[in-house]
Amino acid sequence: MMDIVDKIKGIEGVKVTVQRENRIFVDVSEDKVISTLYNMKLIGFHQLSVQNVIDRIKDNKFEIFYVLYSREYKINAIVRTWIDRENPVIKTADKIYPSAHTWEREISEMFGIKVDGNEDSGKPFILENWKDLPPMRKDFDSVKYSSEHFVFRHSEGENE
Amino acid sequence: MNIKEYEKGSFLKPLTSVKYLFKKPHTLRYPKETKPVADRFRGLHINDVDKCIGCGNCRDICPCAAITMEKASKIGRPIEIDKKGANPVRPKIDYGRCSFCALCVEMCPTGSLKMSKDLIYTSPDAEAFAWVPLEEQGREPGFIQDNEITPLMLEAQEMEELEPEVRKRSFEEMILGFSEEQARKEAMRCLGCGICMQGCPAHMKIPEYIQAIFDGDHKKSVKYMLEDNVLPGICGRICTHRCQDDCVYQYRGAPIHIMWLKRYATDQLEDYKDVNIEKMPATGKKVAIIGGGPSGLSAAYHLSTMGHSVTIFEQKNRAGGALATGIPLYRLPIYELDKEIGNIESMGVEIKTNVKVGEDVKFEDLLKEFDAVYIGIGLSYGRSINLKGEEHPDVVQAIDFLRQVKVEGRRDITKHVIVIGGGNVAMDVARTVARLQEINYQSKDTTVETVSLEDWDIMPASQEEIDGALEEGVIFNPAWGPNQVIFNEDGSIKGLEVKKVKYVFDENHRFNPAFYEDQKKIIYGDYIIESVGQMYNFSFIPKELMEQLKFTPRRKVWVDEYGETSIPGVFAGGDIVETSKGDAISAIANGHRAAIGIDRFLHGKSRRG
Amino acid sequence: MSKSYELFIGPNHPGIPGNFSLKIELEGDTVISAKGDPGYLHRAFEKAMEGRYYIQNLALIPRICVPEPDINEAAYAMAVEDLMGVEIPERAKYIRTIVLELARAANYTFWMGGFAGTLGLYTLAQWSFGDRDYALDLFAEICGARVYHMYIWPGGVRRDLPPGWEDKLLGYVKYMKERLIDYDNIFFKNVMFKYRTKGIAVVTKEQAIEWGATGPILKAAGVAQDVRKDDPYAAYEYLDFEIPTLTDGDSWSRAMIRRWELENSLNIIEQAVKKMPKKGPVWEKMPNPLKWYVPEGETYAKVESARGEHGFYMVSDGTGKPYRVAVRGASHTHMFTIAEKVLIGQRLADVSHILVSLDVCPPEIDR
Repeated sequence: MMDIVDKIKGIEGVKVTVQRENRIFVDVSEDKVISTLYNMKLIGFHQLSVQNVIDRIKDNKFEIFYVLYSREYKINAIVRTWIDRENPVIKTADKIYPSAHTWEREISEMFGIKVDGNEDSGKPFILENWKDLPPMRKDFDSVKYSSEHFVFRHSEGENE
Repeated sequence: MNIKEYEKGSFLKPLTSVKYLFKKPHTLRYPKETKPVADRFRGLHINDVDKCIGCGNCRDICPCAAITMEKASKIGRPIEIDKKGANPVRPKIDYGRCSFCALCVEMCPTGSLKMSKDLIYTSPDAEAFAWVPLEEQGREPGFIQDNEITPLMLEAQEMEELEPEVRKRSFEEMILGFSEEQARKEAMRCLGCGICMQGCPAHMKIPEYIQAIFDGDHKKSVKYMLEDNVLPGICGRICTHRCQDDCVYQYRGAPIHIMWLKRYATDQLEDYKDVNIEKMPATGKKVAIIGGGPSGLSAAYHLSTMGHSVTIFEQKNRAGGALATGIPLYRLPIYELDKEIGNIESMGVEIKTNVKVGEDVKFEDLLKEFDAVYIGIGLSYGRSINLKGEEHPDVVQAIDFLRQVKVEGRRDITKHVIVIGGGNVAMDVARTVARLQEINYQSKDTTVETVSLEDWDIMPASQEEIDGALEEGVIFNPAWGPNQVIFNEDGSIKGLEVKKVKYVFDENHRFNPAFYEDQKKIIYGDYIIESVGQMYNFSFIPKELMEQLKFTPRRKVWVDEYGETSIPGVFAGGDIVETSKGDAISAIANGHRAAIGIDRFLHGKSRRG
Repeated sequence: MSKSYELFIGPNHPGIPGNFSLKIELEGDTVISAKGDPGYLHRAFEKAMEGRYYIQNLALIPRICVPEPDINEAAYAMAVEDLMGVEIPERAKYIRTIVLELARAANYTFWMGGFAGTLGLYTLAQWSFGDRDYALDLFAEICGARVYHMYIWPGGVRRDLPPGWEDKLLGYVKYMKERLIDYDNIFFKNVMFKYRTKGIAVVTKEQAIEWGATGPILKAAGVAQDVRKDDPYAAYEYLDFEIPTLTDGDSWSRAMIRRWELENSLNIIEQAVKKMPKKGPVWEKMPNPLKWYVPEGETYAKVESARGEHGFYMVSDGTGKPYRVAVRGASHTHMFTIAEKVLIGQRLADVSHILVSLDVCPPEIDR
């Protein structure tokens, strides 16, 4: 496992942390994500398991993560990067991992992140006629939204 | 698997299924035939509403918000509503929301809530799918609690204490207190239901301060405590912890050590400077407090936060009342008293020690000089039982003995001591004697025996005190009543003659002991300590005022709901009023209540104005 | 005048497992483009999980997948255990394995019915739905519910096996193995099945790897990749089993792989029951659910579902509720990256069985 970690460390601008056996975190800056993913694929991480976003609202950042898998080494590598919450834009990775295309559609809809190079980014995917804040953002209050849009049925019980 | 065989394919093989034409079908002829339901089936709920305490933990854990708490009057059958440690509400479940996950069942601390094997209910009315589950709905139990696997943390953290052999050698504090890890783990157990708050005479905000301990915020925790209890560190050591008797964990496991958590949090703070209640602007009103015991201190603290200037008159050389003179050092060390009484003084309360009201200052002068007077003198005199021979100098009162040991530094004791009484004070006396005997004689050829009217099952002392005393070698004589003191020829005490108790309480549940006069024995000993109760002394109040003072049938001072006596402007609290249960926390609670009453009185809102 | 026309398949269609819509463009009966349209099953699971205590999510996660709910419970539990650094007891590992394999077997049984249905053989559908019920009965005995078990939870499992359950389980395994001969005769060895599926919707080995396929699609293309072998969880490392592979990557191969895996699952159950410690704890004590603070961190936990790699990416900020949970379902990739491509050029009559052979599970897409 350590030789693969060394190989990853060879990629420019990455910070590698080994979480436990078969789990590696690879942190890169925003501008180096695509080149890192490309290099990761060359190393042998052929599969993108999941790509998604964490809303780090306290740091005013979106954390984008790509869970990669290599069958050869049986290792999951998680590439992470952080982008600004204001006017968030990422570059598409679908030329490297075709399955990223759909994940990016979901990300752009659920977090309002624009994906450069992905023609489906911004088109409605799961939601229909959504006019509110992107719903997976932490500042979107789902309880408030429900109470404004739906009628609640209350049984008579007394909540002291 | 031979894949070739499948790749070939066959026309005829599918025809073999024709054989099923002649086989029994797998389906059931419902409703004539039904399938047995699994034993652990998670169906509609069953709730034993008599066992249920309405704690609301089921509601708190429900992932679907399907549970609301219904008022007792609406549940469809009468229930005992003033049950101790219970809320008069019961869960109502909305089956339009319920996901049948059974987390409510897992979290039910009493075990009253179960799930049944029944899942069939139909109605054209959507509202009809929400009801209060009852046992008499006749459903058969399915999924129930398991004490082995339960999300509740049923086991309490062990409290470390000094071994009996070690602790007997000195008056060192015997309970060692929680470590940070233990306290966090113990605090983690709390479900936050707040049933315990009803048991606490001061209604402390227990769930909140335990949550703060869990979060590691000791200052916030003590801040919550001080709002209702000005002596949290002392109560964390010596409280009768009625809260723990109500803790919902008692039904399936061990109650949370609420008292020791309180002690842990206060021990983490050197002083309460940053956490005291904020003081209001000075009003210029003056209040005199007679007696520096817990109720007086409590009233003084709260009155001073309300902006009044407060003076405490204490006849002994230090404030604290029974806390300072009665409770042995191994339970309550002096530094804790100094810390908490010091904190009250830091709020601007003036404590005048060695001042006896009635002798050094006149009660009527206090009434004139101060805008209000609070009496919190407590029961500071021992009560004798008119025992034949008790005028002998080696027959002493518990309260005097404890004071001598704690305050005056008495360390001598005889080899064979008899303690009369079965309450917590008797335990304090017996355990103090055990320590003195160990110090003086290394417990060689010594005895300390207690005599109590009550048998083991009704002994008033708390179980932990009894266990502690037993561990330290105290011999108990339960269900024996003292008859007379037996003397040697030289006039020294030989022992105590006791007779067997027939019953303590008569058929009307009144204290009215009866004895078997023919069953007698002698307990040998050369020193007798009487510990059968205390009484008050109102001799400082002039006769004409005394006549105005109203008493209850039980000879306690009558007070209204704000602690005001029948004399306007004179308030009372602590052990001398009937609402007190004879412990520090009730005294603190009615001291607080009287402070609110005095504040109202000083602002002209008194009932009798 | 345009020669092509659009057709909607779904959101309610027997060829679609769940509510999902497929917009296809056809020329004659040849598909020239296919677009998946998800959203009919979106219940915001990921958002809802952020607002609930760790234990409350137990009621939510199995609902992500109806045919095989246990994979969600296992992946969720593994993620929480990973963040807390908890090792579960030995017996619990075996029980989890048994439950997961039983669920897998039930899922493949269910799937067979659906697949045969899309090819017009409803006899098998009746049989397999009925046989699946016997597995559900077994679930009801261990956890009290037939479909949404909520049985695997962080720290182990929720209750020990009831007495005599293992024997009933082995009885079920024996019964299913006998039934498999009938299933083979009526369906898998049936020439009609061969004619309808051989060479249809081929996903080659290179394509499968490039597109990020997992599970049966990858195995049918000749790649032996399986989380149970590659990153063993529960008790899989102690058990002996093979990963089946075929080389053609067509609809037939995918169906055969599932048939094979079903038999595999039954064998694993037998082994696990034999090897399982007969006594011992089944749960590592967890904190009070209302004060269950999971240490800060991020982790990815994955299991092998009937459809491929199923994972939970979990983020904790040190409080009692998860900060973010991202669910990775195999169907997300299988639908949009694979199905949309392989459907092109196929005939309308084959669309349904191709989708089922790819085993597209809409809840995994919508979540």
